[in-house]
Amino acid sequence: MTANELERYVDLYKQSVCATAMCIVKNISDADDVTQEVFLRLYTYEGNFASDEHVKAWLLRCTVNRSRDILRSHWYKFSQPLSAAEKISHTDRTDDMLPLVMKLSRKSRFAMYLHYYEGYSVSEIAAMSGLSESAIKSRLARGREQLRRLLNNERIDDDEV
Amino acid sequence: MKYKDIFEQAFSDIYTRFPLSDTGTICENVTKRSSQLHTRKNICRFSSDIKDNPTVQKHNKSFYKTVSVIAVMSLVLGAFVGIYYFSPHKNGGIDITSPGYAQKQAEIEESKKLDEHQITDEERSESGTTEVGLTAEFDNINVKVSWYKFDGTDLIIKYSVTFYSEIPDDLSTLPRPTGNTISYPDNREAEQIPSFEKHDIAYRDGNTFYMYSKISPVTKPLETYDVAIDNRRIDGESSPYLFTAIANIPENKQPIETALDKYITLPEKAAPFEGITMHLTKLTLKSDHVIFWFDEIADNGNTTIITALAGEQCEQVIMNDGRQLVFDGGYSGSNTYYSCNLTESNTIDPRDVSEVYLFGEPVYLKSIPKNDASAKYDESNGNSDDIIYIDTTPYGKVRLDTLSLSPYMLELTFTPADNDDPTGGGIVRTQDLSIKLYYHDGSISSISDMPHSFGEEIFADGRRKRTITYDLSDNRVAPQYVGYITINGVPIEISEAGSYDTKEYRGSSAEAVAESGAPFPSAIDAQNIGSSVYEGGLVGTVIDKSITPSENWISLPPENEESIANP
Repeated sequence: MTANELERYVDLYKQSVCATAMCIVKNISDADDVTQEVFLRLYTYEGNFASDEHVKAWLLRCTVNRSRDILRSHWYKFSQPLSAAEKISHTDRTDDMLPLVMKLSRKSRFAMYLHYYEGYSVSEIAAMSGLSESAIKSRLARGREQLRRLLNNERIDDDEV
Repeated sequence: MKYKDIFEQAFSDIYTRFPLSDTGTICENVTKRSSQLHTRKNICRFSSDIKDNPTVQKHNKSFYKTVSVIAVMSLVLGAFVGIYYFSPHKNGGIDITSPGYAQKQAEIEESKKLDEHQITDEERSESGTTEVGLTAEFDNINVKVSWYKFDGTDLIIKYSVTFYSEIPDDLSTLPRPTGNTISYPDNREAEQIPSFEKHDIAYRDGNTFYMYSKISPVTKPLETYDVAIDNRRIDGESSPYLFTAIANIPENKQPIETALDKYITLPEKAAPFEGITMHLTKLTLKSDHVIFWFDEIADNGNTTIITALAGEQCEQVIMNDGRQLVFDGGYSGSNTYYSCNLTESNTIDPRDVSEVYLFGEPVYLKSIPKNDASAKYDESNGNSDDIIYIDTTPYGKVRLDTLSLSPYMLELTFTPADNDDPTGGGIVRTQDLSIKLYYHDGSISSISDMPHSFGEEIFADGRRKRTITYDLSDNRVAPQYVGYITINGVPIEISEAGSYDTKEYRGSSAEAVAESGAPFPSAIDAQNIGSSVYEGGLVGTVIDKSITPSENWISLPPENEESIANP
């Protein structure tokens, strides 16, 4: 892949990649690192892509895997989280939905983001995440319920998150 | 609000709300990390494109170089460690740190106590040795003689002693060579067989001791020495005769035998056997004794010869340098030989013996080749046929009356040359004389600078006789080897004077004076010259016939008599 192609893909998909990572790692800095790491893998990938959508799907799948690697990493488990997530949860904007979304459970947030923001179907999300469609549907349903309750200012239990 | 709107509102502007990396930063970091990742990947897998990557090549060369240096240094270090731990500490190839070495050294030191006498390295040299290679077997011991070296005086034997069983603690009991029988060249009977006095362990190899033994000194040369092995100190037995060591006498000790045919009548000093005539058949000159061989004379019995000769100092042996040997080492003999022995410290080279006498009779006179070309006396130098004149310019001529040469001195007497004018004529001074001795072998020696004395005798008529005596005691000469003497260039051939060590010249007037029966002051009978010179004194004084006793002579009484006569 050439540098120009890389620049084009970065410009097209950095928003999606970073948001996806943010949904999983719930941290701006980690999301930024995951974004660079994903595009690095794209740059060094020697395979062929059928279309730009194929590239986007490959990037999101790679983002999911890389974000999970961070969540499983020893460093992440035993380090103190930065306050970035708190900032995401507490902004000055009254219409800001990001903090509300971040209060969703990680599994539901990720599934709802891909389904409602990126426009992927249940089957595509299942294929992308390696889960079953029913599991995706369940997570979507749970996410919608959580989001509705948050919008009604109802508290969500920790076990639900 | 729809769920989709919520998520769009939440994530649509994250790049404007949060400090995330923009596109350029992401691309730059990606490309940079990509290059680094590519390099690391190549280093790890040593891919085939290494040749195209100078960075990797340089890195790998350094890597290989480092690995090679470490490997070589490890090998070298390992070699040194191996040498240190697995090779013996060098000391002539012997591990000096091993307990066995210390024990062996202790045994060697102990073995050196076998005998205080040490045989020198020169004696141990194998030059001039005779191989033997004989063995003597005992119950538990084997003794093998390697070689011996025997010059008739010293006998050295090298041998080895091997123990089949345990080695005794006391090494002084090791088997040693011993004498069985010996033989002398003159067939003497041995009073006692000389024994080996020095024993030395050269070295030890396991149960074998390599040793030297030496007879030192053998006072009388031997011809043979029969060697046995003495093992009595270990198991009480001794080997029989093993071998015979034959003397290899060096040339300076080899005897000289001369066949003779001379009859000698024993003089009075051989009483009561005086008058007996013995037939001398052979003379043997050895380094330490002289043997006279006779025919057996039945009439006088077996002991006659030794009885008649021993202790009479009848023998005289003269060396080339004029030295007369003194025999005080005893006498031995039988009915066929008489042997007079030198002392131990007075051994000789038989080749240096020049003359041998028995009761004054010459039995051996070494023949000396003469240089005829230079030994002749030119009688024409004299004014008459018999008189020798010496020119002592500017003091005129003097006449040589007598000349006597002995190993210890040269005595010359001169008188004025003119008989008609006894007070005139020349005089002689020592500083005006040049005297040289010409030997038969062509060598020349000058004695003008030798210490000398000067004497003068004045007769009643005023004649003066001068006597000059040169002291040759510090540089003795052998008169028998002198062909002639020159005095101021005048050659004088001197003749044998009947003595072994004297030559003399007499003026022609001597015999005439003797025949005339005139008084002959200080004259010495020619018959007694030999014995006189043997004492080292003046051999003869001849007064010219013109100097005859007369009333002109003044007879001076001794001073004491004069003092008595005229108190």
